Amino acid sequence: MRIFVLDADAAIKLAKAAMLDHLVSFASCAMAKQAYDEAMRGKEKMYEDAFAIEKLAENGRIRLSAVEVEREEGLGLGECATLALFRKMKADAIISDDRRFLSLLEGQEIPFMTSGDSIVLLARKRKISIVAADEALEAIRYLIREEQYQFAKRMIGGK
Amino acid sequence: MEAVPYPLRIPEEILTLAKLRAKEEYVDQSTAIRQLLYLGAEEYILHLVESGRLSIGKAAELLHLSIQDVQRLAVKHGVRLGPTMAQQKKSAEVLHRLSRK
Repeated sequence: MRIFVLDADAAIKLAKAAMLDHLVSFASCAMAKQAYDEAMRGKEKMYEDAFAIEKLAENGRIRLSAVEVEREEGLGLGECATLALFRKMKADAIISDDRRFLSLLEGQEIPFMTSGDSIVLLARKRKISIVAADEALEAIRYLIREEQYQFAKRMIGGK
Repeated sequence: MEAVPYPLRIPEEILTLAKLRAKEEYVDQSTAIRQLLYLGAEEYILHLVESGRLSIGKAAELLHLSIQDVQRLAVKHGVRLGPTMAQQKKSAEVLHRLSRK
């Protein structure tokens, strides 16, 4: 089974797209406690995605792990902890859309996937239909770069 | 957010603007100046995130907001956050590899 570590931003987007449930059924998903806590701050303003993430964590479908963190310049605590957890778990990839975080991962040759591509992966593995993948991408289109959206759309189409 | 005193020379025009805002928002002038500073900081931080100098998590820490709030703020300011094309291609490589497995 594949192992993914998600940062708060990606978990929130996948929850908004109603894809987090599918992803945790397909792969073993983990979040650093620090990243999870960042996502949970959304509960204060009743963001539904925060409650969806909480439910999956409470059911043990998202594994939470508190890790010791070495702070990196320009990164938040959650992203630093996500990196530490990836190393600890020897996961397949980190799921993140954050440009600053991804540039650090690129530099360290750590595999990563964007939230859009993780939706494409679910479609390719036939865990969701192409229509569902399209709808999911549409749901988060306003939160991601247009190029990222178009790229994922093309990939769903098999191009 | 903890406030600390800082000596500052403010252009008269900004002070006039602050007076106007204070009147309209029913706040004192110092609060109005802080609000204007904060609005500028929000936009500046969003551009740092957009250009990859700060992460969204760091932006949330600096602004004392949740990640969801920063996402909303970006939408409000018309700033689209996300990977570079080169990063997108690397993500696609991982996607292809995992699709084959």
